Amino acid sequence: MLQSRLLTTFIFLCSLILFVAGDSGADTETVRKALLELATADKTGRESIFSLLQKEGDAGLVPILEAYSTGLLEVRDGKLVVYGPRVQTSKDSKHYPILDAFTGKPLLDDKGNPVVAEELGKSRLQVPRAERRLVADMIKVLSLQHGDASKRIAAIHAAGDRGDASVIGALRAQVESNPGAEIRSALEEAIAQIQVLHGNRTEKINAAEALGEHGSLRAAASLRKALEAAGDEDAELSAALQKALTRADRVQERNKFLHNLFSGLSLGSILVLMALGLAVIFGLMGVINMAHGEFMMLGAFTTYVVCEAFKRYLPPGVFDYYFLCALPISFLFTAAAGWVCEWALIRHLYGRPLETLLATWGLSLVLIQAVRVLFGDTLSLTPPEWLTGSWEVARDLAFPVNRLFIVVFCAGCTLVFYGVVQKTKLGLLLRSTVQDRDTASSLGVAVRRVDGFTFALGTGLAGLAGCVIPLYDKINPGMGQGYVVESFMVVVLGGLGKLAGVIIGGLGLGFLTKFIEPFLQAVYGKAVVLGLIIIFLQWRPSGLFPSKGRLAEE
Amino acid sequence: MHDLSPNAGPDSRLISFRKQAALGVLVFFFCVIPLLAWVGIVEPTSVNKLGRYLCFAIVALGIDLLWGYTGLLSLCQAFFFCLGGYAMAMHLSLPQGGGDVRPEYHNIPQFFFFNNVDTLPGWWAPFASLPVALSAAILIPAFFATVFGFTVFRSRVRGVYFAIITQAVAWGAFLLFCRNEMLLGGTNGLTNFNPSLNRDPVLIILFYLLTVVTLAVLFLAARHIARSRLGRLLVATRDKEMLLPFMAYRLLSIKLFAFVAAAVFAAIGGILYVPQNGIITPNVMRVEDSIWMIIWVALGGRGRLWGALAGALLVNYAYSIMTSDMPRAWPFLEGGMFLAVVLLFPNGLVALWDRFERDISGGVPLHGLLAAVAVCLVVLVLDKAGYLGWVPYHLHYWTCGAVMVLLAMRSPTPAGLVSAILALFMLSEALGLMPKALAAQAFGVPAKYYVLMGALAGVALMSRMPFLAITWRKYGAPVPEH
Repeated sequence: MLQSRLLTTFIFLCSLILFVAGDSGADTETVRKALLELATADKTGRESIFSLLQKEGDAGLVPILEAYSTGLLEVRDGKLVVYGPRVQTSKDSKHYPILDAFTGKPLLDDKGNPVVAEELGKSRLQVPRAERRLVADMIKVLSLQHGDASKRIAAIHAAGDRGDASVIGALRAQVESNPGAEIRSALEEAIAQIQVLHGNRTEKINAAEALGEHGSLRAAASLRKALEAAGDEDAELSAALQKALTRADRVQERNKFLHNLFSGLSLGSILVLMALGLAVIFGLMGVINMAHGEFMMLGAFTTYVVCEAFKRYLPPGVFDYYFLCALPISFLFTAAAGWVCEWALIRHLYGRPLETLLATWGLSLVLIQAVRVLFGDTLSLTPPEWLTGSWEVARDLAFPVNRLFIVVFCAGCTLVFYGVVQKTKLGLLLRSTVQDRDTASSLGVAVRRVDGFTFALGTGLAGLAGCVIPLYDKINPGMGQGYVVESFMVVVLGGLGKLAGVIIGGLGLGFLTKFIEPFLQAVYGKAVVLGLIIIFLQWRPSGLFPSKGRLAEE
Repeated sequence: MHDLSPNAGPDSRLISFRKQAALGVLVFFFCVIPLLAWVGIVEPTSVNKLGRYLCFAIVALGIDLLWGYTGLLSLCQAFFFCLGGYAMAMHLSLPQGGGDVRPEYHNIPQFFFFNNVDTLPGWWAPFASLPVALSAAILIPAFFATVFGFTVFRSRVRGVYFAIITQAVAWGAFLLFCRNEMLLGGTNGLTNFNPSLNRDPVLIILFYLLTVVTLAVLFLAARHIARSRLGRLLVATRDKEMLLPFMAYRLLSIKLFAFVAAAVFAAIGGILYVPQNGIITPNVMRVEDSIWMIIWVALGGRGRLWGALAGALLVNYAYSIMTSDMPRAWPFLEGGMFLAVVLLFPNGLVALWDRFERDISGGVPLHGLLAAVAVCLVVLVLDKAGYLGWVPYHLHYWTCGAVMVLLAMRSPTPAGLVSAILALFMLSEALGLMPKALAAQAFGVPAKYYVLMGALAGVALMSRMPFLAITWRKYGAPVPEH
């Protein structure tokens, strides 16, 4: 009993995978009848059936035809069925599930149990050798008419990439039928791609021009292929192809540039968020917080815990909003952890910057191991639905939504932080303590409390950075250590005088890394960036925005 | 911190004690250990381990000069250590250096074969000769330190900035050395040396002695530097950097000297470490390892050369013992060690020793304490050698413990008692003399830690109880209060 239930489930899953597009209108009477006749029809009968299918059918027929061409289609008790992929049901028996060809659901017998076959039946339909090509072409053409726009575009692109002259008629016919702008552009591109390879001379030149205008990656690939095929015989054609190719390449280069700019921006904005906390802690208290990366890691694991809690205790409908809930929770949690650390550890070490470095390093070891004991090693987070996918700005240029969110979020946090420091009473106290600790203290500022608050604020910012990192990366207890060296570089680069230095330093480092990476590999890129920073310090020893006056000589 | 006032010279009693202590340490390292290893009471692996840790002590000497004396916290010493180590490893992995090469791998180190390199690259060839390899192992780090130090010190990068920049250098170097294109073995590092280097007992003892001699020579050199006029300039740089330029000293040269000297010390440590360890990988030059080196010196005591040595040995033995006994708890202990050093013992173990020396100059008799340690060691050695197997119920340990308490009571100096207990514990662990009975575990922690903790707690209690102090005063001279 259990076995058969298992089998049903399994078959159902398989069929889901195979026949996602199973029932999309192909289930009309005429098509159904025509397909059933395939078993008995002779050569002329089959030809008429094929032409009918080509006229009436749509992409829903593709799986059936594919089964037909691989010999997995069968007529059973007057029903068209397909053999599903073989399933291991027990230790030494394997079964083919029998699926209804049109719905893709498992065929049930009188008692409601799924029908299975131990062997492939002898009465399967075989495509005659002479007609194989015909069926294959039909599959290609039909898949161009997929009901789902994105799948249809993918099929059109695939046809263009293959440079398949046999479908050009179908593509043209589709252009005539006036589809939407997106599909139309894909169709035109595919036609041009095919023509530049297989058309006559004028067609080739026109197609080359069209492809150059498109400037997509696949257009460039087709142009390159055509240029290779053209050889040196026809100078004018070669020149036209070359010109189109140059144009396409230029578009690609621009795209690559924009893409690097964007990746640099998203890396840089995380660095800024991390470095802001570091800089304010160092600027105020002279504390080198080596555990800053670990506070980020704590933020990431808090997000993970919130995500799991939503999964377990709340209805699935609200799961997508867990991230909005995780942001304040991880900020508060890491800020509280930072406040406790400041109270228990850091405040005993004022005026000894190098020793705080060792102490916070010890703290980071303890935090890493504690998290490892509690949670284990690498984990990954289910990102919320609204942060997946990408935003296609132009052809071949898509920005992932999660990175966009990170950029916007970090910019927002930086602005809020800036506002707090510049406009609020708390910020005033903070700035006064940074500028002259003793005077501020003698004027009644509770500098010790300002220290605790600042440390909590800085670690809270790191926690926010940790909250967004799981959107694009796995989390593990040691993740903070990779970021903290770069954040320190940002602080060194920017100088400790002004927040603007941190922002410019962080974004600059992000851009620099991402622009060097394509030329050198990531590792060499990092080494080069490091060298550049050391050279930069020759020119500006205290960073971009050095502190001036009495502060500078501490 | 290092006391530089001229009129605070130690009295004659202290000087003679120091001389005796130094002599004792020298005899122990040069005679006792090789002898015990020769007759087979101490395993060759223990000697090999001690040899490797002494290499770390050489690195610690350099760090002490740089950090303890000059006040520059460099977080890339592990990188210099590896530069020296890699140059030596390159020599050792070539056939001329006894490397294990095979015809099926074109008679060059195996990893080349896996990187699709058939012939030895040109820049590898000179390392076939030992003198070239040795001079490269010292000159390359020295050159790098000079160039890097010059650029950094010239632009007046100081204090924390210096620490961060050197940390970034260590990180970048680690990333580079992990690449296969560097043709230095990638993450697997260099290995396949002559296997007898760290297996043959005679070679192990020879390398150990070589390391001890080098360490002694370098210690004398470092002490000479520290006591010279240059050493005073180093301390001045640490304590009042801004004042030196006004007195027409060139800060750049002073700092550069300390940095390069530390790099060379680290490289020499690396050179001696590689043959005894049998492998070197980029994992030894991570930022963590550099910070780990700093903690040796911090725990031992900055600004005191022998403090750095003791710290390196002690911390590494603690690491070795505890990672084998309680691997999962180690990161907590390590982190706790960092926190404890900074919060509780800012001057490291040197402070404990200073206290001890003050007791001595106050006239506390020491014979009892030294005799107790000696009795214990002799019993442990005899037990290990198998002469005491006939004693029932481990009575020799109990007697030994009782004798120790009695003898120690004759010299009531808590700092001395703590030092003696720690030294005894580490010695018996390092030489593999720890009694088997103490390996039994309770709550996942071996019994020896309970014994250690119990002994330390006993000392702490005794030193706080006035009636015990009064009892002691009847026997010995009064404990001077400071």
